[in-house]
This record gives sequence, C-alpha cells and structure tokens, in this order.
Amino acid sequence: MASAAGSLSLYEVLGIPTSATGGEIKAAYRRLARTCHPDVVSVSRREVSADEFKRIHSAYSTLSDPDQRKNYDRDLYHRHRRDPFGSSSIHFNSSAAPSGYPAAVYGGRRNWETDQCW
Amino acid sequence: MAELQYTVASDSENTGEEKSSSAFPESAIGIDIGTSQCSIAVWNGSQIEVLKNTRNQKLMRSYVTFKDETPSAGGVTSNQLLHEREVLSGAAIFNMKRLIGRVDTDPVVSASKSLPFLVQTLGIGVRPLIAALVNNAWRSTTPEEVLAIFLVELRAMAELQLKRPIRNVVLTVPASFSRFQLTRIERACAMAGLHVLRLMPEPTAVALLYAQQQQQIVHENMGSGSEKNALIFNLGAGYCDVAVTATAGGVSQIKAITGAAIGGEDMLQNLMRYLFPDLDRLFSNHSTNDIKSMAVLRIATEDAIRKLCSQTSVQVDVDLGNENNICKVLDRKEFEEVNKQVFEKCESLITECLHDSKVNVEDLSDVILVGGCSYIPKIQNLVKAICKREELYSEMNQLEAAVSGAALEGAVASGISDPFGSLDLLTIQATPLALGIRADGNTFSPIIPKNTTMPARKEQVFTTSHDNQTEALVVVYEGGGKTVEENQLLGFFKIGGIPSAAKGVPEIIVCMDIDAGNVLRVFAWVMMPGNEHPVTPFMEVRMPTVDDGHGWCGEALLRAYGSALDLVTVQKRV
Repeated sequence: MASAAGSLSLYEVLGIPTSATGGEIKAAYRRLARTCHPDVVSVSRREVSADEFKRIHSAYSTLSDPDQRKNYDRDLYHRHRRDPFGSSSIHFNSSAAPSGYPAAVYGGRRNWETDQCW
Repeated sequence: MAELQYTVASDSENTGEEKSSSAFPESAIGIDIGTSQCSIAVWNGSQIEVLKNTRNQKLMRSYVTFKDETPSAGGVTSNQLLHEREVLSGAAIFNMKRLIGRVDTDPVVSASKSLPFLVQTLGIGVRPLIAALVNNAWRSTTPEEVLAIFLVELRAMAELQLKRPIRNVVLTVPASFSRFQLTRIERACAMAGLHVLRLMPEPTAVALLYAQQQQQIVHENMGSGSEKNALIFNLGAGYCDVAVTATAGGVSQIKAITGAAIGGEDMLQNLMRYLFPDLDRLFSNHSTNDIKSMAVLRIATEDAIRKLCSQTSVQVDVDLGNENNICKVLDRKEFEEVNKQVFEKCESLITECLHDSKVNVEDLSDVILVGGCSYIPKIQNLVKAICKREELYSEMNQLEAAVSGAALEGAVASGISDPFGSLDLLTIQATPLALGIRADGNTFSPIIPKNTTMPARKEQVFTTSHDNQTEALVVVYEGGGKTVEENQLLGFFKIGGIPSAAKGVPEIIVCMDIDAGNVLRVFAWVMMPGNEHPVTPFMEVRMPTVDDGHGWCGEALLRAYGSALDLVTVQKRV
C-alpha cells in the first residue's frame, strides 16, 4: 500500500502541477489535511490516514521550502531517467517502506488473539 | 498503593466499547484544569457554553480538602467565604498540576515546600510525599488521587447540568508536560471514570478557538480566507506556554510550541519571600501556627499582586503572629524587580518560539494573550514589545479561551458537525518536546525533533561503541536538554543478538513513531552490511514504560552497565 504511493512525485502527492506557486502548495496541503488528517477520518481509517498525512506533510515541507524544492526538482529531473526505486536501496522517504524493514513498523496495525478467552 | 479514602464514581458500563455510536453523538466536554482554577465547557449544538457551578461561577478553584469523612472538592461546591482560609489550612491540597508526575529532585517540587500542606522530599529521584493535615495528622495522598477526586466532582456537576452521563473529555495540558506526566493525567481521569479523547497543549486549544473565530469572520465577509499567523502566549499560575499558529480555512497548523513550569505561583512566592525574607526558615516545621501565618501572608501577597494590576502601589499590612508584622508600601516597580527572572523567562520563551516558527514578527496578524496572569501590566508590555505592536487580540475571554478551545476539540473529536460550518476545524499539532535516545556517552540524541508535525515517524542509525558488542541499551528521553540528565526518562530496553563485529560495523536503527492518537512507539533493529534484512527480530516498545521511581533509573542503569552497552550516532547517510 505504501509502495503504490511511493512512485508518486511530491507534486503528485499534493495533486498540483510542478509550476505551482507557494500559495498553491499551501492551499493544496490544507485541502488534503482537511480530508486526510487522522483527526477528521473515521476511527477505522486512522492508521491508514496517519501514513497518508505523513506523506502529504513531508511533500509539503519539502516543496514549501524554496531551497529544498530546488534540490528536489533537480533530483526529480535526474530520477526520471533511471529506476527511481532501486531494489536494495536504504534511501527512502518516511512513507515508503523498503523491503528489508519490519512490516509492523510500516503497517502498524494492532493484531493479537485471545483464543483462550472464547 | 494506599487504600483510597473515597469512592470514585464510575459508569456501570464504562469498561467496554464506546457508547456513543448512535446517530447523534454527544459532544465530549472540554476541561481546563488550571494550577489554580478550573473550568468546563461544552459545545451545546450551536455554540460553546462554559458551565457554571451552583454558585454561578465559571472558574472554580482547583483544590481538595481532606476531612475525617470523605474528602470534598472544595472549589466546586463549598461556601465561598470559608474557602480561602480552608484552602490554606493545610487540610487542602492544591497546585496538583505543579506536582503531578514529578520526582523529589525537581526544582518545581522543591518550590512547593512552602505551601501549607506537606510536600516532603528526600532528593533521591522518587515521588515526593504529599500529605494533608487532618485532625493534627499528616495524611498522605498523591497528586493523581487529588486530581481524580476533583475531576469526580467536576464530572458530577457537569452531569447534573447537562442531564446526561459524561465519559469523554478533552483536557488541556501545559506544553512543557512530558509524556510521563501525560500518563499521570490520564490515570487521574481513569480514576474519575473519564475517558480522555485528547490531551491538548493549552495554546493549541486557544489556536483552535482562534481558527474558528477567523473562519466565522471569513464566512461573514464572504471573502476568501488568507493565511493568518498568530502568536499565543498563555500564562497561568503554574505554567507559561507559547505557540505560533498559521490559520486558514479552519485549519490551524502549529508552527512552533514551547513552555516552562513558570507562572503566577512563582511570582507569588518571590514576593512573599521579598516581604518576609525569613519565610523558608520559619515555615520549615509546618506547625499549625506556621501554617496560619503562611496563609495570612499568602492571602495578603496575592491581594497585593492583584491590586498592582490596576494601581501603581499598594499598602501591605499583615500580622503573622509572634511579633512578625509586615507594614509596607509596595510599588509596581518593586514587584517587577522581584520577579525579573520570571519575566525574562517569559521573554525568552516567546523569542525562542518565534525563532523556531520561522515567522517574522511583522508577519504576525494577531498576538493573543490569555491566562490568569495576562492582566499583569508587565506581562502585557513585554508581549507587546517583543511582538512589536500596540494592541493585543481582543476577541477572546482571557480566562475562558483554553477551555473553549477544548470544548471545540471535544465536539470535533466526537464527530459532531455543524450546519453553519462552525466545527469544520482541524488542528495540526506539533511536538512540544524532542524525543531521542542516549548516545555518545551521556548525550541526548534527538530522533524526533521539537516542533515536528504529528503524526510523525523518524529514524536514526546508531552503532556499537565497543568491538564485539553484542547488546545495546536503548534509553529513551524526552525534552530539550543537551545531556540526558536534563531530560525526562521515558523508558529503556535492550537490543540483543548483535553479531560480533568491530565497533562501528553493526547498524542499530532506532525508529520512533507517534501515531494518530499521540501514542509513542519505539522500534529498534540491527542490520549488518550486505544483509538486506534485520539480523534479529526487531523490538517494538510503547513508551513511556517507566513508573514513579524514574529519577533513579538513569543512574541505576549507568551504575549497573557503565558504558558497556553504549550506542554511538552515525552520520546521516544521503
């Protein structure tokens, strides 16, 4: 689930064109926060939405900082020309879990059984 | 745990699932438990209503009087004329918020020793003994217990007025509270049969109210809402909090937040010491007469501070008994001089918060000053001076702002919607304190820095400090200090099964995750070069794990293991 979104650019995460202005980035972030923040979704979706919001926030914090955005744009240009997510790469953003990492860290659902009680 | 001297009310069916799964969810109530005063508010379907007690008061003194029978939460129901003396008789415990979750080496606890009730410290990092004077005996209690009794009374009062059972609450807490202290607040709520939906740092509750007010202005003007930055400064009896928020379209994003355990209580004690320098020596015994004198002095000093808000000088006349008389004209300048350090601390908190928020003073749309001490002219002046403005935001009741924000959050978190859009609100919180682990000796190595937007997940790579080190201790701290001793210990665990290798080779990855419910989990696993998978099962520990003796743990660990299980930070890879 995280890997599907992993291939999106930060612009795609926020649903804005690469030419977006600072104001548009901020507005998009707010609009998405209004629907994706764990505080506004139903209880059953909170875990998923926490991950979603983290991704949105991380995209926003990179793109809203002019220097970081410049660096990112440069990377983005280069990345388009090679496989963006090399298989054993440790390098990853906070939302995309590389294969080697413990699933629970990235899927964080509560799962336990109390068969003996029933 | 000691046998409880009171009955804690509880719902008959409150241990199971959430009750309010009906089509019309009931709004959780907002509670602001102040160091000195407390209030409750609720969203009544169309607006925020601050509840009044039977004496028509919206603000209730936070204290509990212990008697031979059941203790009573005085501030909620007792007779007002009696209460000031009663509060200071030694039988009442107050300032719970300054004591909760603190150990006896904490300076805030030491500063509580000149209160009328007993605060006994041994200075070894355990919880202090707190006791109320009942029939000439010191009867012990705990801050959690006192808070729970108080919350039971508040709950009963609110249930009576709202004519429905109350279970879900949103509480405001100081920004500087550690996660350990938050667990103590949650425990007190649980003892009182209350379920905490959210613990909101006080300035963020104010920020939410501000967001709602701005949203309404936008609605009224039919205009488009541009982003507004506001600085919120909250000074109460026990704590000072500052936050910078960016608001637009009902979304309040906390850009930076900070706070400290400093407030009106410190000003009061400083002035008491100024008026009566022998204070500590004279009151060290806590005899019945000492307590009486202390009460007289405290009442007179509090009164003087209040008067100095509107007049430039005040006559103080008190007879403390034993030929200790104070007869003095006190002017505002003296008061400000005596409390110079308090004011300087307030200033530095504002400066720090502004700096962290990366918002220029010129870009602040509003400066909001709230809290019980917001009437002090020096406070108003210093806030205006730092923020370079003539006027402060005037659309809020300074004493009701935090509780109103909590009530709004209560409604939002209960899933209530408002046809006029008054509840289309969202606060995006940030961490008031950094979270990290002990590494490179006694250094605090932050993993989730202060002012990180929540929910959050961050990780950092560490390595072994010795050759062939097969185990490492992950000791988790929270706070702003450079060394671990300056921070609050949250818990610790060992990570074993590290393959024998030269120091610096194994990678120990520590990941911290704050989820949507503000729960902190710490994960750790070991990677070896060339391996794609962790070499051992990873550790997952929900924090805090420490209990009351936490002041000891850090030292005890050091004594037991020395540096044998130390970690070292690794430069971040790109």
